[in-house]
Amino acid sequence: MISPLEQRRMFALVTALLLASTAAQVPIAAGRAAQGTQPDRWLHVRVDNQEAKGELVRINLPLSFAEKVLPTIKHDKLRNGKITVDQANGVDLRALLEAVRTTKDGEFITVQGTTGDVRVAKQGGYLLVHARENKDGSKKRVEVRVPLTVVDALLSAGNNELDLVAGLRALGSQGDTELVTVKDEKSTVRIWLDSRSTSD
Amino acid sequence: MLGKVMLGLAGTTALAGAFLVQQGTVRVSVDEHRANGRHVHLLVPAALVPMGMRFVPVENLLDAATQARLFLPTIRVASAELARLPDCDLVEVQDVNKYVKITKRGGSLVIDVQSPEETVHVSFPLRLADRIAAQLESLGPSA
Repeated sequence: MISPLEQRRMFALVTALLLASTAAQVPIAAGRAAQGTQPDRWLHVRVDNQEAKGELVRINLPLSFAEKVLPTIKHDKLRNGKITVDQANGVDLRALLEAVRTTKDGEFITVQGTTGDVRVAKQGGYLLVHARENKDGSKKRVEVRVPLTVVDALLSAGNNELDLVAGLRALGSQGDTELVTVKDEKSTVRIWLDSRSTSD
Repeated sequence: MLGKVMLGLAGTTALAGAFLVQQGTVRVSVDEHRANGRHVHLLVPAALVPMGMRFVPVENLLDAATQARLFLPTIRVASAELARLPDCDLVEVQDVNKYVKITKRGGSLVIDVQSPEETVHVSFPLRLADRIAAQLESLGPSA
């Protein structure tokens, strides 16, 4: 026969064990809950090299992660999520982007040569760059699509700065977007944005 | 009397065990692929790491805090952000000889490196990274 005092102690022990087992489950449950929601836009980088033995690069990064982490990095010209841009090789990058932003839709550069073509245009809210190389049998193709809202956001900082965090935020408000594609016989590089955490 | 003592011990052990499980573990494995190569395998409950730091000489911790000062806020924000993400593969790089993979699995960051020289596996709870960074931050001057 168990005395009332021992019954109370048993009850206390069983309660403690139950609480302990519940506490151990909390992170698991939280992890599952987190898995159930996809709050982020993900930036993916994928490099596949067919020539070398299975060379590959896969990077999957939520934009919100970059948005939060960038302002904490203080290195060289990067401060508070903004990067200072000087004139590089005589090209004022900020002035160039400002000019692109304020110009009407159209083709800025078209070069057609025997070794390749280059086309830079502003169209449907995007800055587009197409380049194709036909040299020594190479069929390299580069396509870049930058949403102009991102350009606007980048320029929202001070005179000599680009606001990278604002740029990321603007990028996050885009739908699924293919940003960069580089293809040749040997390799493929893709940078794109979607709401999936995997690049497969 | 002995029964009560055993009951108390069992309860305390169960509570301590549940606490350690909840806090996760730090795992470090290094296997060198050469004759007489080192094989290091560590499995430490994460809850013991901040406690263990109390036994590290203060001057060593201050030195670490000073050297890592610039990165501590980044570590804290990055670990907090990673912790709220679903399990995912963050980085995977394969070249002819080396393979590196960084994943987030169940509240931990897992880093695997395979090369002809060695195989390295490191995993640690993200909460631990935040706690250690906070501990170091509290020691050193702010950036």
